[in-house]
Amino acid sequence: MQAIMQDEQAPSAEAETRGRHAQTFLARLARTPVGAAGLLLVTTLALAAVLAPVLPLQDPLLLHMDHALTAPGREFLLGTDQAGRDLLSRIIWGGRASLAIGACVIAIGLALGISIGLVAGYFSRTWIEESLMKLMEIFASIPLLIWAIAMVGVLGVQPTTFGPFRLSNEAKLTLLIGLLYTPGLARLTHGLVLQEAASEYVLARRVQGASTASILFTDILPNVISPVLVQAAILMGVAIIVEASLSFIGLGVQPPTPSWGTLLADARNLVFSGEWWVAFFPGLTVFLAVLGLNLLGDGLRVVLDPRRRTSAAGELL
Amino acid sequence: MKNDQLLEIKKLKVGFRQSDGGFRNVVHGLDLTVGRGEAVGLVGESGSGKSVTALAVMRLLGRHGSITEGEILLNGTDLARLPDKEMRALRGKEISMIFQDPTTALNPAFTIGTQLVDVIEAHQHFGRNRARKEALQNLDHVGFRDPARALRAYPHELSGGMKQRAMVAMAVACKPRIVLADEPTTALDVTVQAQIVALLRRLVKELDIGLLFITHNLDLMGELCTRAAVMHRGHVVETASAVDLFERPQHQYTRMLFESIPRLELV
Repeated sequence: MQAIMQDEQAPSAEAETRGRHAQTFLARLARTPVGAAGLLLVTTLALAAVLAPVLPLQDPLLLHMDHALTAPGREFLLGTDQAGRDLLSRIIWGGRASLAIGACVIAIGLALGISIGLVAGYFSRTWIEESLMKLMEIFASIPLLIWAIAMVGVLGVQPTTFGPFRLSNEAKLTLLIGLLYTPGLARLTHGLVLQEAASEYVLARRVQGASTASILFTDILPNVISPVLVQAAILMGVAIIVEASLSFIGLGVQPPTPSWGTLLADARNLVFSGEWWVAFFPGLTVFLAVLGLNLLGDGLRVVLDPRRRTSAAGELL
Repeated sequence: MKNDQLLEIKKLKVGFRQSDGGFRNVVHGLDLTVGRGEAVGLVGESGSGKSVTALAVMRLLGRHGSITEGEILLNGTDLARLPDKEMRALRGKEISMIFQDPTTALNPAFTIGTQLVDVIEAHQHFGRNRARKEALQNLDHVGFRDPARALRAYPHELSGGMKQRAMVAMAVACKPRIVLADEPTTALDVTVQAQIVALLRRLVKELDIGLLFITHNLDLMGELCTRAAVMHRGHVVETASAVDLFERPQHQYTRMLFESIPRLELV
């Protein structure tokens, strides 16, 4: 008996290694090539946007009419637009609007989508699931841009007052896009939760006297979060494109505030007239941001995959 | 002995709503008692209603199942009629359960320590540090040689036997009065089965708990239990001491059950 016990007790040496790995999540992400590239792109753009007020940049709103449409050069690194405003400065300041909108949209989408998916998945085959998921289908049945155009059409681009809140056009759009991201994330979460909720450990937690809320958020959520985060990183890229599209047609961020979309809109008339830089650099920035978020998503997929984690630690005993 | 009953199940009837709108009874008036420091077996073939009985005692029959008649007395409190909230407070604290497959019964996302501390914290508000110490003692008690290491391990890093030990530790963490073990050895190989049974026998004695041991393995039942009930198609057909069941089975079905154990025939 004693001998058998000892065999069974062979300690898990790699448990500690894994603990260390968990702490250096970013390091592991940086070790995957796509993850590293994505991380680099996204953090560079985000840092530039956050640090815009302290960077040695020209005023993005300052007009230099005598320098209008200067080609990229020593004085204006990326050139100037029709009104002589410094393009580099406008792209970096524009990133503040574009990235902030993208981040807020994802935060709203994640918070709502995950909650709805969790509850619907846990109470599967009840009226709760039925009504929540039907509501999600209603949201998802109309394309995002149509919703956005309809909202701006009804409420206009000027700030709208809802009770004590005064919402700018950007805030309204952020709320709307966040709401419209909810169905996709809710469906993904819902599907994953359906699988998890049937596991015996959920029953075991109930046997231990855990409450439904605690089972949902502390037991099931950590087991389903990885694919949802991967999807969120990719969706944030899409959110940036949506903001750019809406601003491009004049329904998003309003001039003179720069955003990547408004910069592209300003460049509309110059695409074929030789001043390529006015359209090229904002377009390139949007491209890099979206590429970075997609690569980041792919990197997360690799790092967060629980099966990979298991095979790395190995079945020890 | 008789006046010392912890769990008394009287005339329990359990049924499930069917998808066609009908209702089907699967446990038909079950009587069973478990005393303090006593291990009682509940044996029978698959589908005889053993697990349903355990889930009924836990009041976790799901949306379609319900207790239609009878009483489940735990120290005189009728669990069958307890409000949900009070029942939840009892689960894990007064009455707990061990499952068949420890691989799926542990949450793969957390270490054994986190899960064990959660259970302790949920019912005894010790604070994190004290709960951790308690968890260490628990793991030590169920036979982990290096509890500190087991505390940090994820479920997939442990063998099936160690995982079941961890489950047992969680089940007894809050010093419940009664533990329901639903086929706790079925997913394990034979040597480990014997170890888990030895562990359960020790805990029953040391902690003075009542154990309801659900199994279709009659030999293990004989190892662990003093008394057992034989279940067949929702009825208890015979309740007797383990020795009597082996030596003098009264009911036709009990005899068939014991005869069905494969023996090594030497020709």
